[in-house]
Amino acid sequence: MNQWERVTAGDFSKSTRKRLPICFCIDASGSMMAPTSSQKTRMQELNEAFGKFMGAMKTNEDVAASADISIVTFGGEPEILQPFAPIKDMIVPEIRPVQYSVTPLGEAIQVGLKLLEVRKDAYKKRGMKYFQPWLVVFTDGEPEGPNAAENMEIAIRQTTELERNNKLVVFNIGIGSDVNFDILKRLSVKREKAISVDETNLDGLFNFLGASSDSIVNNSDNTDILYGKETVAKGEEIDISEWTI
Amino acid sequence: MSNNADNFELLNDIDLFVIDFSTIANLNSTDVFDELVNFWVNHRKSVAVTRDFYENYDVIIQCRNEEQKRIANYVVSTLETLKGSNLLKYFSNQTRPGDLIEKLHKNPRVCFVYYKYSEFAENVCDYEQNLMAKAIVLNASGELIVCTDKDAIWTESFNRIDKSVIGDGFFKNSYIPTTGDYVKTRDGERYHLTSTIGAGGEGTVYDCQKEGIGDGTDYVVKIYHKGQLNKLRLKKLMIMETKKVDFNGVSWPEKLIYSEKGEPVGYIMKKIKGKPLSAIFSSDEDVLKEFPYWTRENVLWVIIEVLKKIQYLHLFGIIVGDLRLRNIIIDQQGNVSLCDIDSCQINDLPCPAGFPDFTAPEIYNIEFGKKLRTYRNENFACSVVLFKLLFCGLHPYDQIDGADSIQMDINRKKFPYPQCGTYGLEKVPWGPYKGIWKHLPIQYQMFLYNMFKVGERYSVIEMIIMTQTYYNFLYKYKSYYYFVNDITFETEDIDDLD
Repeated sequence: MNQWERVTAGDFSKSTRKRLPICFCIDASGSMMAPTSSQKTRMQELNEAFGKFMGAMKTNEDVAASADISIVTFGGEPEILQPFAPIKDMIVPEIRPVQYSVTPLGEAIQVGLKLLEVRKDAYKKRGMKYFQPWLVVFTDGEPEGPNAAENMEIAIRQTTELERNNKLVVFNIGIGSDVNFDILKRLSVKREKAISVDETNLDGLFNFLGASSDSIVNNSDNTDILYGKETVAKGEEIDISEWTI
Repeated sequence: MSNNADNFELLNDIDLFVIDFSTIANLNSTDVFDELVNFWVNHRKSVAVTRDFYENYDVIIQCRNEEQKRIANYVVSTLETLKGSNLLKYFSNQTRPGDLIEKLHKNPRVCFVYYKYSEFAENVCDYEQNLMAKAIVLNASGELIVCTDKDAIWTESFNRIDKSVIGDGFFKNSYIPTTGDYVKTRDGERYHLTSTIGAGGEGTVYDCQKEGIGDGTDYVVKIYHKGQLNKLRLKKLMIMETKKVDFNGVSWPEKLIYSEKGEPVGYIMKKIKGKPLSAIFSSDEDVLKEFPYWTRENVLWVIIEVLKKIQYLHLFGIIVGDLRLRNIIIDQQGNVSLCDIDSCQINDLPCPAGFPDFTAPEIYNIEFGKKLRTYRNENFACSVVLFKLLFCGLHPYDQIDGADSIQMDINRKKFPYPQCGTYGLEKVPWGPYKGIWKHLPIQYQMFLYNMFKVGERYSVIEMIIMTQTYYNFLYKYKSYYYFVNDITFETEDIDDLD
């Protein structure tokens, strides 16, 4: 049995809430050690923003009772840094980049999808309901390593198929300017383009993710809002005097 | 009003009048009713009331509107006088209007008396083509309309959506008031917005002070964000202003609120304190963390209280629509209140919101804002609320190896519990739920099974009576068994249930 297929009762809270499984696939390759304009490395920026984000998720009662988190890093080879667990009592691990390592993006995504699949099965076996799982991919480069291109194609095929059937929500996020956005974009068919963020403004991105999780947990399965199809007031302004009841 | 009296003469060949309580709840004055009673007495007509008539009466006399209570008391005491001349019939085992209508709708010597937007009207409309009975319908302006054929009944009782409020567009607001600003009601009361209580997608809720009165009030003001006040919302709020809804634990939008410039911007409602039920009924641990001394009785009491508030609103043609645990607030004493009612369906104005867990299978996949909900739809939502409260937040269709979405299991009626008894619980989710099921009285198990497996739609009143009986049973045996939650109940113990 593989490492990620071991699921015990302790991994689940007793909550009857619908679960929101989120898998983060985070780039930990050598390039994440590149310094940014604020004298920190990209990884430091990411760790800080991620820590804040997790803190905010925990204080949001509705989200904290629903979200289950796992983290896969990829620097040299994919590694499960944090297996799935309820966010409520999770200690946020620090992500450490691996020096001079390559970026096995496709392989990491495959591991992430496998984790989500196992998690979904575990929910089903216990009779727990869940929202469609989220796959959040962060990278600052492009797939690298032996068979990188082939593995990336497999990953793209898997994510797009799941997404088309409404069984997955994909956040494909590129940090900095060295990202291969063409290939990153192809991970999602619903998103018009990959999300591009500046390395010094990661807070904004995580605020968006936090607000998205809140709206999913509180409203419904309507994922339009997660793909930027905003549901703001439609139509023209009406003058009240022109309207009679 | 002699007009009415003449019209009543058209009903000379009627033997039996069946009166629904919704008529009484929506009367503007007792004059209209007096004419009807005079007609009954002069022509020696029989009048029938059912058990739900008195169940509704019990609820209405708990409201805070004195006029409403006075009318209800007047009507009931007038009906009592008919008893003396043997004109009043009482069907004590009828708790669902649909049953009585089913028996009587083909009888041309029967006349139904009901309110246009009531559950009773909905049930009458079910028999569209086969309807032979006649009807007196109380319309929204408080007039009694005599209908002598099925087409007239259909015109007066079938509700279509108000098309004038559908569509995009919102009102121009030159200024959205915020903390520190003054706002006013139509009749000139001025309120000072003192601080923010909370903000959501639609608007912001403020604490307020009434001008001239130093201390804070029991009221809060909700101000819509720019672009949120559309035709549907505004018309709904205007109708809400005219309805005399005043009940403990219903934060009814009482008055429209205008900015200093005279533009409508929001509404004022009673302040409620507490936590949403969804935060507490999310696991057995959460319930006990908040209420460590609670037993089953307390849970049953919460269910009954929630359902009673819905029953009260139904009397006025109001369907909550977006009913879910998150929209019900509970305070530390265990008192419950309905909130966010500004989105409810009222008369022919739809409720545009809804949550999949509480959506009846027949309206799955429809656009809520474009179709009116029925009482049948709402009764499903009520039954899910009942189950969720009983099972610490578990949904009735949560199960092992369930479908991907809850809606699929709802549509297929895949209920993982047996008709009764303690076997066949393999599909019940992990947790204390098997135990909860096993401790339910057999009648209650069958009641749940009928609702979720057979698909029977009980009325809110039936759910209350059923839960009340269970409550009384627990109460009765409390003195004999210290650990009242640990005993299993035998069938013959419950003699009150039919």
